[in-house]
Amino acid sequence: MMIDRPMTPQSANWQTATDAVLLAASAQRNQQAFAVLVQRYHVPVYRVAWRLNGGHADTDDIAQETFLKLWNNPGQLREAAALKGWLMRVASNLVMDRYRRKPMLELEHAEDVADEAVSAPAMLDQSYVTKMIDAAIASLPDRQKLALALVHFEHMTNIAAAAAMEISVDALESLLARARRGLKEKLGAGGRQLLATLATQGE
Amino acid sequence: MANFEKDTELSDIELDRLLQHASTPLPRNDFEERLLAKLTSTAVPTNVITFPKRKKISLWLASLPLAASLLLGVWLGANGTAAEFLPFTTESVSQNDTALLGTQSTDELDFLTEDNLS
Repeated sequence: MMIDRPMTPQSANWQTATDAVLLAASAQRNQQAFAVLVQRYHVPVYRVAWRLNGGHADTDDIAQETFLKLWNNPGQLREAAALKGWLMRVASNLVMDRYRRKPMLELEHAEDVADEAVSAPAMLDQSYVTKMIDAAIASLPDRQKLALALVHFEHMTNIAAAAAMEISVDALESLLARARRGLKEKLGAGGRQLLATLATQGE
Repeated sequence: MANFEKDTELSDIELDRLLQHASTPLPRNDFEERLLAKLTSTAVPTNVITFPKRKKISLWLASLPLAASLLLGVWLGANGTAAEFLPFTTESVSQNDTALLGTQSTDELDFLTEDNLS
């Protein structure tokens, strides 16, 4: 008969452990277990923070602070299944708190959205396409940006993303629809030029 | 090469194709190492808020007023009255009140009923 015993630092193979086991061990100040959680989630947390603050240099600090909050207050998370959403929520709150304090910084990367008077050689550069899309996303309101980041870039389901944002699924879908409409408007005719550039380069 | 319409808004498919070319940033390689280094310097958290220690009041000092109160209660209980401790008796109070109103007794205050006052 199998006995479901809690893993100990001596016996643990943390890499294959579930989030629940890792969280429980982290709450007991086990750094190895916590390191595995960091490995699993630091990239999406970083990407969401980056997307929300428009690629600002303090993205790294925000991602680190997010995990420190988990380390210092493991009891805040009641359900291990909600870990990813919880991390996303904490990271997005940290970004919004920072930029509420110094709102001018938020605009610094969103200034050149869909500039249609761009020279042809510049349009041929694929990195320029990326820059234009990033700028268009950066210019969206925070909530729309977060909804888009969670669903489109982090591939979370609408239900999981709505839970992470602590809103209803309907509200999330509304945010997504407005985000997409906003992007279409911001990219405008320039969006077609960008697509044409990608098509010429064979994508 | 795709034939894109010039004047209409981007379609959902076109927008999705553009979004595929958005940045996918990655954290620095030493992200975990730096974070784990911070963990060791972080104090162990606690959910218990400790109250500041109060100055220890002497038990005997605190019991003095309690004992005095108890003795007074016992003494009053034995005598059955506290009249001699009051500045005047209840009888003198009523007399003083009627004297102030210029009446001889409380019966004369009947004219101050609600009907008469309206």
